[in-house]
Amino acid sequence: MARELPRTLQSLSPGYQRGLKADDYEVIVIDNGSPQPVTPELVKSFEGHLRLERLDPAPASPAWAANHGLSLAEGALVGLIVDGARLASPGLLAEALRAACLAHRPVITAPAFHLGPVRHMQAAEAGYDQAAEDHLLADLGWEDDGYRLFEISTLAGSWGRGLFGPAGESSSLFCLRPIWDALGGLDERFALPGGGLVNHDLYRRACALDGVDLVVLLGEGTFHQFHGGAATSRLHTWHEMHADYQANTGMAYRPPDNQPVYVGQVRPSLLTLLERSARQAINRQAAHEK
Amino acid sequence: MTADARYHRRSDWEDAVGRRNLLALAIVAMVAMAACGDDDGDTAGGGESGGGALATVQTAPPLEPVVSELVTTYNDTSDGDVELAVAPQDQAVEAVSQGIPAILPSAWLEGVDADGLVIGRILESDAATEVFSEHGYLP
Repeated sequence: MARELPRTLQSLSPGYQRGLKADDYEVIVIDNGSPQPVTPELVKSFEGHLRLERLDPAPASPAWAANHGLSLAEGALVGLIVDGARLASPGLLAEALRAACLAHRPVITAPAFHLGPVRHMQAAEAGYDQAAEDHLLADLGWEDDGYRLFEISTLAGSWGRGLFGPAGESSSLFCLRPIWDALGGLDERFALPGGGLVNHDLYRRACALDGVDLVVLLGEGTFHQFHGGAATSRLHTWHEMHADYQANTGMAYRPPDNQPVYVGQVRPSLLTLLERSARQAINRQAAHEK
Repeated sequence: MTADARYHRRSDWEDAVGRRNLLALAIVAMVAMAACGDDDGDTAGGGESGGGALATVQTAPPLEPVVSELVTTYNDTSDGDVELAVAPQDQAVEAVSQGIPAILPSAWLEGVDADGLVIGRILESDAATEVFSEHGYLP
């Protein structure tokens, strides 16, 4: 993650994030046994509050590491990103804070994207690799306007039903501490390398809690950098991960059907996706009414 | 309590303010095994599936364009999440013999013991029929 994490942290830095100050938030990075450890220099170069902890040896699943990170968090609102390769849009944190004020028990997420013209599971077939991604980012000027990332990204599979359809998981999940306490974090029985569907399980359980309101940050997102992770490189098939899910939960996975509250500003770079998402939603509605 | 009422109640958020920071963000970073999910069996063509695959449909390269369109159309017009897996003929046929749903020429499946398979889900879709008709697979 030596290539991806510096960009990720840059996207979470006070200079990039809009609408809040450095003292308003802290970032906690749990290095889950990366062969090339996250360097102290990277931590020092971060403008805001950043804590780094390294697990070594580390379990193959990120569940324990995520729970450790959650236990360290001192904020009232706590966000979780399971993968250090996800760039954030410039308003992700400020909008999450705003969304936290809109409901008594909010479960907040933002749509997930993959950088590039295809999802990263299909990157090899499309000739998309880290070098292509580096060029794409270098030409974009995302550091000055992170919303331009929408222009070069593809909606992730978990959001394949569009912005107005149910998502399979959250790649950036924000909850208040009482909700995290109720969830108990990620289920550490998910022991597959990469965690399998542990993040899907977390999202489903969060959405199923009593009295929660799902808030989707329309206009914000996370953007996955191509790095050959466990899921996007298909280390395990969906069937293997789903079998693990069923073994752990006793049920088949279905995405939560909560009706979200949508919050955020829609920029021009998102309009095409909004149109397509609306069409998908209309088609689904028409199919239901048949 | 109605949703509207909830929005006007004092929130857990307001109860919790007072901690050192307003917001904390925990990130798990790892190179090869990061759960960079977004998977959801999302190989269906056009990037329209997601949300947890209902089924994986196997096919072979010659049929991929039409089956991909079919899967995309199905996912767009239903609650189903179907993923498409494309494999060489021998692997696709082998998958069928293990009970994986597939869209393949029937001639390829002559050696498969269909009676021993559990094929219990029929995905109904008018749009799918239209797709196949447009490509000449149905009268």
